[in-house]
Amino acid sequence: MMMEPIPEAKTSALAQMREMGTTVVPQPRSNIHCLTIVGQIEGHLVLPPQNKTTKYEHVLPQLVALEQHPEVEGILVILNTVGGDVEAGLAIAEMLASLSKPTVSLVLGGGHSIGVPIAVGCRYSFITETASMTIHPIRLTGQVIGVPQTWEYLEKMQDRVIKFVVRHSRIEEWRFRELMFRSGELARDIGTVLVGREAVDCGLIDEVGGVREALAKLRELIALNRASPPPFPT
Amino acid sequence: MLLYTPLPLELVWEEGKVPIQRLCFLKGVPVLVEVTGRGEGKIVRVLATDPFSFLDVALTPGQKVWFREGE
Repeated sequence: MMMEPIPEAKTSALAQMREMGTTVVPQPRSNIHCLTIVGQIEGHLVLPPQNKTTKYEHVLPQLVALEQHPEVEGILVILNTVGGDVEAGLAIAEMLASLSKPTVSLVLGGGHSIGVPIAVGCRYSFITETASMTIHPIRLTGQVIGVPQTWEYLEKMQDRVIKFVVRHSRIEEWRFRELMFRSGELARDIGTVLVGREAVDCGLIDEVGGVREALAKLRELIALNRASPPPFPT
Repeated sequence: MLLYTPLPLELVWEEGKVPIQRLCFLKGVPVLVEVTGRGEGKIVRVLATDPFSFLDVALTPGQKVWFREGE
């Protein structure tokens, strides 16, 4: 659907000059695009409106477009998420992991649960000093049948997440499982909260840093990519 | 459906008021617009990946927009 701004809205150059003391400057296009993963990652069911959500049907085509766009050379993924749907989260993480263009993730605030695979799926990951990541077991929603198969199914689903994280970060599988099932740390759940440097020390995230470090790393990866482009056409 | 989140599920599934939101393109940029009345709406979120789109004053969340006739 196409739409137009309201005429005489505060968008006119004159109004802007009056309100902000500035006028429209010609805008350059960035060779680094940023993808923000905020709130709940929404999957197959639409969540009630009080949830701020990131929808996979928006993000996945955006990633395809970024991979194809000739002017985009790198992608910065900014995470402040409380997790969400396992399938949608893993879909985004797998897409990020299989892009040919350099990707750097930056965890700000929180990158909990399914936010963990998204953060580690990027080629290089950063976490700010104060950001946290919660690692805890997956729970089933909806009807739960009390049979051994339910447990096995859940275990299988959990393994999908664990395997992805282990494959894309420096953490060992036993270590990640230990963090996931640790008791006595969370008030309402079992698991662990990793704050800033702790996430780096256990090998989950590559480095502690902010926007400056993340962009510097992305530029470095872009330069490497320019010097030796990936073997398949981008 | 598997939700992997530290948020209590009763909070996630709590029923709330449903605002009508539509995905639109304004100056070629995807934006999420909340319909506020007949033919008009308010920008809720910019869904672009180009960081410079976020500097465009016409795309600031809260900015009012008109829907074109017949759309």
